[in-house]
Amino acid sequence: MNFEPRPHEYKINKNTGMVKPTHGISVFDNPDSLEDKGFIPNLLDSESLPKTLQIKQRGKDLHHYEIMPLFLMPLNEYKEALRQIFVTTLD
Amino acid sequence: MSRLHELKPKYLVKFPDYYDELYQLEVSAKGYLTDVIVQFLDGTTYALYFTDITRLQQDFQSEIEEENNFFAEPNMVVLSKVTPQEIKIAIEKLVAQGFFDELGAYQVERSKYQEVSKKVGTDIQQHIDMGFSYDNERWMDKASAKPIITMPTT
Repeated sequence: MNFEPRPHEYKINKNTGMVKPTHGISVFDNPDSLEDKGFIPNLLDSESLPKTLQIKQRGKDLHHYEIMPLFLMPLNEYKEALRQIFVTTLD
Repeated sequence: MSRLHELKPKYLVKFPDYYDELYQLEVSAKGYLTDVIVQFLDGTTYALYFTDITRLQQDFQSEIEEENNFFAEPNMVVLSKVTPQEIKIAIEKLVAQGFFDELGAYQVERSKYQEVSKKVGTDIQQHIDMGFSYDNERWMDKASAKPIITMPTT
């Protein structure tokens, strides 16, 4: 499985052209609830998370987090860092 | 038989292509959605940004931390929750309240569609006559089978 951000899942700093450390790809920590809604959850391998990324709670759903840059980062580096994340299926 | 009338929508709401079932769930949790297009019969098009109050607060705080003193998004609408249903209800009410009359129209790039449209005028039937089709909440160019984000304006 690849983490590929959708067009507005990241925000660009208009002064620097870099991806801001404020928005990112969605992940959840409540797999049972998501399964009930018809989705198959995968477990993120936290060891594979590059040190240039961070996971922060965002939005009013406290089970919702976003994988975002740790600091201002070029878009290609952000995308490359996301590709290094591995997931495993929940059995 | 009384006179028959063909019904046409007063406006069209177009969600982004990638706003599928999974992303709807994610957006509901994220609390924001951008690039929701509202298009009226005369071709006037607006792009709206929807957010909920929690995300608005978080994004404002992030901007403060980045040494901005504001958070701004063009054509921002605040909802209690960002779902397709809530968005459609809000747009319906905004149209009824004349909100779009006071809003700046979406800037469209000059394109072949604009050039053609200038010659023939614009309304939805004319778009269809010009070879565009409306499918799955998106306008498509029949010839190239590609979606059209911006429609011709006069």
